[in-house]
Amino acid sequence: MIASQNRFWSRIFLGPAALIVLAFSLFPLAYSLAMTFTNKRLARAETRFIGLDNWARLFDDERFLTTLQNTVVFVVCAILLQYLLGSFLAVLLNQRFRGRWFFRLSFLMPMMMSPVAVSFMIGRLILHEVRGPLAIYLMNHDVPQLLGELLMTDARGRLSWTTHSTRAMIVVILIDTWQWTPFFLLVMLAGLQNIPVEIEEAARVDGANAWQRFWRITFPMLLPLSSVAVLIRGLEAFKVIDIIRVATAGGPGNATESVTLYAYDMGVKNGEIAYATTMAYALLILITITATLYIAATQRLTRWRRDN
Amino acid sequence: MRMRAGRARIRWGHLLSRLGMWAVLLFWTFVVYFPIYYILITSFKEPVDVAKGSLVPWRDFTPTLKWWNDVLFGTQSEAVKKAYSNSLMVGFGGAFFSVFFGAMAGYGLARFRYKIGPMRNDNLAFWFVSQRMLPPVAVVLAYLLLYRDLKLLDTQIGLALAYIMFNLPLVVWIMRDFFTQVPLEIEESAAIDGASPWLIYWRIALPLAVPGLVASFLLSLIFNFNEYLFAVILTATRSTMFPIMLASQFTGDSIRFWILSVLALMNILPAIAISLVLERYLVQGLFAGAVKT
Repeated sequence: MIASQNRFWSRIFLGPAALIVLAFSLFPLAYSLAMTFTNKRLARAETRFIGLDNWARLFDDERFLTTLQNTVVFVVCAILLQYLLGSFLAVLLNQRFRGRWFFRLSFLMPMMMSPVAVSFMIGRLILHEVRGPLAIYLMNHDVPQLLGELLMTDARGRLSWTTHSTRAMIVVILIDTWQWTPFFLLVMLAGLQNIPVEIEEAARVDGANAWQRFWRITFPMLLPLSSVAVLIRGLEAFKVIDIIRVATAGGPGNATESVTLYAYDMGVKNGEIAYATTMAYALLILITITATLYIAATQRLTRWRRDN
Repeated sequence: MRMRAGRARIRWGHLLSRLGMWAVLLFWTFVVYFPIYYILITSFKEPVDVAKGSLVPWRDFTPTLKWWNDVLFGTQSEAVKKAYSNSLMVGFGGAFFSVFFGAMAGYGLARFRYKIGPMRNDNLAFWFVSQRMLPPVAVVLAYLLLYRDLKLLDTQIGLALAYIMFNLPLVVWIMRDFFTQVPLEIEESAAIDGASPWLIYWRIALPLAVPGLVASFLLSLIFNFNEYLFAVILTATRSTMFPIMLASQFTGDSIRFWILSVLALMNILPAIAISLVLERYLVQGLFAGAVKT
């Protein structure tokens, strides 16, 4: 250490960042918590302390419970799909072949794009029920019923998803998958490239086939990294609002509405800031519990794999 | 005999798996590029060609520059340019300060020994990262009320401050990782020569960590440029961000796909440019530390 005793300089380096986080993250968080016990509204009016009323209201709010369920369904399905797709593509791109950089670059791009633009591009244009290319194709061609089911057609063979709860959710999940599969691809690719070649070679010499090598060696070695990647993406996915607001606006009814979208409407449109913040806090608590359980479970799994 | 048959089968298997690999790669390339290609051609189409779903310019339809002209020089060009420059200003400004303060904190955590209450260096680094777990909606309404009192609503500064906070955790994490990998010897000899810690940091450590600086700057920039929730709540007319302006155009059934395609393309343009630069840095450096742990 150059100057482990140098308290002055250590404070200069860490101080500003720590102060910014304290002022802009912890303070608003505490302020929000205090607000959940009041009837604070957006319009300036007298604010009263109302105890746990907001929290009690949550459990009777059918719409809130629906949005909570939607959010969980969205997170689980989207993350699972992205993880599988991303890992699969990473395994392919880990091989050496000409033009690999082109695919790596292309597959990475969606992750950097604005979710609003992506959501418009796929949800509002490509999958538009009348003007989208898929709809136009289905209008001009007959497809077998089973394929039609997959392509989300109605009885007349026309594209139809905005009025179906499940299909609308599928579309939202697909948009998120288009955008975020690259994240898993990137992380898993980095992980694959760090696995020493010797281990694979040894297994190959011992006669393990590609499938065995993947399940017995690659997959377990990537397990810790996968669990971190799933955690990071999962935490992000819980906060979803933008793609849903653009693609379905929460509809049909509130079949695709997420907690964040509902809280936004409640706080900004209805002006019930305190209740909206209570919802957000409930989400925060849910995320924290889920993350803690998840971390404990993955650590146990990793340990179990190592011991066996 | 048996062995030869086995070998032949393996070769066939190899060929098949290669074919399968290319099929999957090409399929995903199509999935990625088709939507981008489609908004690109839509931005050059007359409404009637949009309705027909024409695919190939010059063969199926005659491209027109009308909409690009409209957006960039027409009646709404003022609003578009204002929103775009707002997004760039907040994006670059916010990213610069996140990296400036984040790199300092990362260096501090890599070089000094901290003890704040029960928290040591590792705890502090984790404390920074854990700020990213927070659902932004939990604090954004508090921001709305506080900013209203501080007269920061609908200002670029206000939004940039929020974004600095959002990006700091990631920057601190990345930069700490980079500085831990920078060899100590040069810094130690500079210290013996009497250089102050700041000079050592600014002149020696920072230049060696340029890849980390670039990666974290671009990641912050792209986050700021794409962010939705804070932008929609904390800004209104004077400081509208570009994605908000784009999202506000989806009203009613008469969506003007052609204009929206122009705007959406403008919105994803920085992403494409940044991917080109970042691809190298990301795969090389960024996850090196994460993978080791």
